Amino acid sequence: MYAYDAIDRELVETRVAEFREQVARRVSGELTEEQFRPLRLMNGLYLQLHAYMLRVAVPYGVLSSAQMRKLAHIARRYDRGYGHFTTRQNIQYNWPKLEETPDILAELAEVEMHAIQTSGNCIRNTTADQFAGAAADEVDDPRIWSEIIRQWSTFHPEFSFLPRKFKIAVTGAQKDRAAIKVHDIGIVIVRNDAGELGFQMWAGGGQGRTPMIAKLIRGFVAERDLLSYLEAMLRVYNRHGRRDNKYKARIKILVHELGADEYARQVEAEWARIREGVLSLPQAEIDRIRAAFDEPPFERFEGDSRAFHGKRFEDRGFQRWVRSNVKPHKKPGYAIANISLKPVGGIPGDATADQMDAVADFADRWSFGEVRVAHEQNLVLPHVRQDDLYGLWLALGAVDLDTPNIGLLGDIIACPGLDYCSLANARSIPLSQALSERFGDLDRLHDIGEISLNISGCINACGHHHVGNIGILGVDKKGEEFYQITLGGRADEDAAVGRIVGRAFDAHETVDAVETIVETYVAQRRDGERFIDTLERTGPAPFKEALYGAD
Amino acid sequence: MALIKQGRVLQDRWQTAETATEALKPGAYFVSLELWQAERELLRGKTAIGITLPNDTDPEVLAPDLDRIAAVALRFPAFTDGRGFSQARTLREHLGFRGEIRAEGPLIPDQHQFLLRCGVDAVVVDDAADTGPWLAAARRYRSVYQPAADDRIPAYRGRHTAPQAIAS
Repeated sequence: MYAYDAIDRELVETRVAEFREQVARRVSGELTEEQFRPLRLMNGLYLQLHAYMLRVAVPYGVLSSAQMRKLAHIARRYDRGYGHFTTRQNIQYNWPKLEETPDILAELAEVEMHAIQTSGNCIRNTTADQFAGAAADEVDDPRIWSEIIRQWSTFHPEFSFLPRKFKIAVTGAQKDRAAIKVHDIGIVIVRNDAGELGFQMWAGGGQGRTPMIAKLIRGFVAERDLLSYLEAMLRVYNRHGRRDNKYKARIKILVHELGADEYARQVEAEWARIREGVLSLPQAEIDRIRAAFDEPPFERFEGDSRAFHGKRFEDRGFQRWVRSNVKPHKKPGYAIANISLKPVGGIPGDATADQMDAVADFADRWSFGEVRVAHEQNLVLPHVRQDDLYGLWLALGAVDLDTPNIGLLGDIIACPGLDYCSLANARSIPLSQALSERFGDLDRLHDIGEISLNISGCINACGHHHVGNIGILGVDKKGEEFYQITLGGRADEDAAVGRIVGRAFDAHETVDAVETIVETYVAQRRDGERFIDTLERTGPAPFKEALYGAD
Repeated sequence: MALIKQGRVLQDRWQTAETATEALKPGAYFVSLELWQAERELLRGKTAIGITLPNDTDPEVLAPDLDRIAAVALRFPAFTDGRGFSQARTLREHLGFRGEIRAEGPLIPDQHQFLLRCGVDAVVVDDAADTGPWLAAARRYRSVYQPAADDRIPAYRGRHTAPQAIAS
């Protein structure tokens, strides 16, 4: 993992001191809330419906066990004993006291963490594939490039007051687990025909009220040119992105209005002026950061563990968990273990302080001290020996973290909704809980198979409903909560925006409607077909008919 | 108005000229871009001319005139409108402008270091403004992660350069 040097440490510690002064000025009344607002937003501190909310960055979703323990400690000491992992791989605390937030930031700095740029119209935390460094289908480790981007984007003097927030995601694998095509900039690490490493640059993806899939802006940018190309992309956006209407201010609107070709032309013109300058990355720095993500000392195994397969045969519960939650690792004899934060009837993404401590312990014992946060609001132990999976599974069960539903219908992505958020039109959490209960039978869940169900409490789409195979959007109809259903969204390498299926339902009807959609799929599916495959084959007609009757 | 420049608070000596006439007394005047473009020849005789650049205007329009003007004022309509940061960098880094670049508008002290890094060297504030936070913010962060219009060495280069090489 990347460890701070003196420069990284100084910057984060300076920020803590600066924020402490700002909070003191607010508490004394020297600053009004209006004056304080931009300052707190630069440190991830929001004012929500009932209290402040602090969003802490988990850079590219990577945590050490020590960092995870610190997050648990903060939940216990400064909050109500839990935290919420978000779709941007961050963690949010819902009940911090304003006066204590500088202490929280100081505690985070001790473990090389911060809340810098987790809000505001700046470049936010760069997200990446949660299986980085472990996945078998990886061209290169996205953590290296995400860390380079993290540093370049931190306190960027030119891009801290953009037209709107700006999100970058990086994947180094063929299968996109980082949803790069619904980001402001999506980066795919590739090799060109000459075998050189570089980047495919996508721009203009996003959700919200105008969902769009990103367009390819350049097929190959060499390693050393990553920052100059990014800087050119951002400069064109900062100068020409719309500022007259908040809802048209994201880069997706600029790319759409100019056209991807014209946007690319402007970026290339800007890039030509800066690419040979100080922005070109020295190889020594690439090497330094690459070394920080060297492989842990894996043991050598010839192939799969026989003991592991034996346990799968003996214990049905273990087998079920392995089927959904364990993914192949690049090293023989190892596996990637996903920890679901979606217990039946639970709140998606929430973890208690005790659970965080337990995960830190498991990471130390079984995964070289490494934990990842997935954008689906789950946790990952990236490097577990197959021989240790059974022990891990038992240990997870003791802290209610063994729900076998990764990638299945119970693995619901949901925003905090009207229970916490001042923007929401409708509640997301109770609906997500009701759906989770309705599909609480694990055998049935496994029989239904791979399907994504995403819920957003408003059109800002924090629950990524546009790209859920089944998407649910909370809408307000004359003061009542209603939910609109979309079908066919996906966030992977074939990213697509779901289409509205028909009129909205109330909360109770919505649960039944999802049941109807699932039953229709099960009746229509052919062997081995996932929900999304069936839907793409049949089109929405059978689903519409089942929901609303023939017209 | 007061001017914060090079770590000090100064009285602003510049005036604004709304029209160009032969009667304009020698001095330092800011004029609008339109006025400059219409009355270039008349204005050139005055000792110093600055141009106020609207924040949606490409600084490239000034390229032919940069050796004839002493200052550019960038108007920030709100502290959240960051276009001026890109304008300043374009003026310094692409066009090589060496005169004063001043920032005007409802900026906040916490932006001071970003402004300086982008090549702004003077900020216009109310006479009554508390300049303490501005001066403190200018020097707060000692290291930087990225290059800009100042000559500070970004961390990714400084880490691999011997100190004497940085100085040279």
